[in-house]
Amino acid sequence: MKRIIIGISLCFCLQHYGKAQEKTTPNLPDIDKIEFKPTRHFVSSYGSGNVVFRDFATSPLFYRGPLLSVQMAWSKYKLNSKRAWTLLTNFAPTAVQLAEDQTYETKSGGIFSSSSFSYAYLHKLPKLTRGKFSFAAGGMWLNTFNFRSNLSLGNNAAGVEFFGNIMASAEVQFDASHEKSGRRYILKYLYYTRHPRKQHFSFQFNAGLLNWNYRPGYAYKELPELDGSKTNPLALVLSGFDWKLNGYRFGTELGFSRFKQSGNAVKWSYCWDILHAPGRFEPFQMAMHRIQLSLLFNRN
Amino acid sequence: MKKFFYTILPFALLAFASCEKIFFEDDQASADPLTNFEYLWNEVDKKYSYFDIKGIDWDAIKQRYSDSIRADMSDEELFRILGSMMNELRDDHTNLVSPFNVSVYNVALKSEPNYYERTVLENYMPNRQYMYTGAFLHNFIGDSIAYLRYGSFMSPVTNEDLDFILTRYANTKGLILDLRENGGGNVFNIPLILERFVETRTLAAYSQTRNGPGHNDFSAETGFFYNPYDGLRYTKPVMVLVDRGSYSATTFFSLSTKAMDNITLVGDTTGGGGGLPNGGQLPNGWTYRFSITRLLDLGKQNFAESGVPPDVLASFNWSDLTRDEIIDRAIEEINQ
Repeated sequence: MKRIIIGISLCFCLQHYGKAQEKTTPNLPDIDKIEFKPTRHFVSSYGSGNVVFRDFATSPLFYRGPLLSVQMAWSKYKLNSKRAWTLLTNFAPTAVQLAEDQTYETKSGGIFSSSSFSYAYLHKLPKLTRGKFSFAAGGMWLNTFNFRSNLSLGNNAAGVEFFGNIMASAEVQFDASHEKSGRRYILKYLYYTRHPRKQHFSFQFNAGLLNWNYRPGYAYKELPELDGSKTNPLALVLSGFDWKLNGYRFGTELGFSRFKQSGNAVKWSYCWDILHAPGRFEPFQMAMHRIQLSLLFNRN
Repeated sequence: MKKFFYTILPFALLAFASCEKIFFEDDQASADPLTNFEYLWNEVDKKYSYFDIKGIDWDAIKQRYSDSIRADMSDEELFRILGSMMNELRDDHTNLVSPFNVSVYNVALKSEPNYYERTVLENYMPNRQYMYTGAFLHNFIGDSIAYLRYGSFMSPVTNEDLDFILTRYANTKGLILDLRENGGGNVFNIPLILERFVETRTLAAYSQTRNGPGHNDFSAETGFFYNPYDGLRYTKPVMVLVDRGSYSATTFFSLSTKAMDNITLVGDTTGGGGGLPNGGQLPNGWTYRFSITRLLDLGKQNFAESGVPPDVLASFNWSDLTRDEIIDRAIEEINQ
């Protein structure tokens, strides 16, 4: 009985506290007052996910591993366009994926690193804009360099490849901003106060239109055909490689961005990147998934 | 809001569901013996570089070994068959590596050895004393001949080490560089040494890489040049000692000396291994390697895989361990 009385008293107090708060919560400024002008951002991003790749020049097997990524970008938003320069580095320890009925498990793995440099331009499509949805389309120039190391592959322990892609990009954005302040109830006595806030969901899809790859020739060997002791080191590394225009590359980014009044922002995103580079003789395939936290610093 | 999610949902699902499985070909991981046998045989058939010089009928070898492959065979049995098939290439750059064994052809064990270290250290090094500078063991033989022992091209060579050594022996009549039983290693160490013995830019060899499915499909020859070292060099006679244990990078080194008038090869034919090996993996995870390039001399002749013959033939007499006949012959050549 004592417990019931204490419980009822506590509920009453909480209800009374909630009402008191409701009365005293001041009305915050309207969203119009924190509307954002065209702005420039420096974006610092940190991500984690996984990578899977297969290089037929050395192995028919998939290698997988947990991925860590760091990204820097310089973006510029105008009223009807967005452009961004981006540097991305990924790193992953990888291990081979063997058949399940293997009697003896081969230890094979190493490190995977991938660095990308890209320039993207998106132009808003006002005719397609409906309510809170806005659409943009444009292109991306993406360059990727992979370096892989796997000591179990002996004389081909190192693997390198370049990819260059001209991609078509499309973005749909849903404006989920709150224009008014107010209280949102989860349960009768459990609520939170929502302030005016600029935020949006976005989904970007990139598809490679022109896909170049720089891959080993017919028979890959880590050591090049030596042609002298004064050979340029870069030429040594890439001896016997060929450019080829073939394959495909796709990428998606599903994101949620929330802006501060200062113009800074935080963005959570899920990024997916897949490529298939047949090269001239033996294909390379790679897919990366990562969840990324981006901090956008207003540079205006 | 709903509309937005309906729009992106298919794409998001595609992304979240590891949809590379839709885009990529099937996973080829397999422990099936026949699958692995076929994979290895095909890789060698497509890329190995010395079928012609060795007169290997690779199709006949497939026929012979495929009869032994059974679906229920153990990993050890499969390894024995695949390893034996690889050893048909008679090439020490050919190995099969499993979690429990490594196949090796072992050229050096198929001929007499020509080097016994204690004979050299006890009978040729003054007071059994010698110096180690980096990877080189060295000292004077008598007053006027330098002896350098370089046991493996895996050991790094630095210009500082060579500067010290060549300064110490600058006033000698000649130099003996002992590469017997040197099984090879890093080919980048070759020019570091040979650059010290050339006075002009010297074309010494050519190499070619398999570039097509035919056993004689090769890229154009790439010439290998040595540039004179911009610093201390040695211009007096150099005797390079070799034997059948001198393999891979040592064979490359030996072939290169044929283009240099001041260098003489003394001893036995080298073990071979002129081709650069690759590295790869089978569907069951085992790894392998084999030669995919070939090394040609200045006349574009393809003999180095079988060994580079010496300019002066000499052999070790195992009935008298107080003398090293190959060193004696090198001293004789310098003193001529």
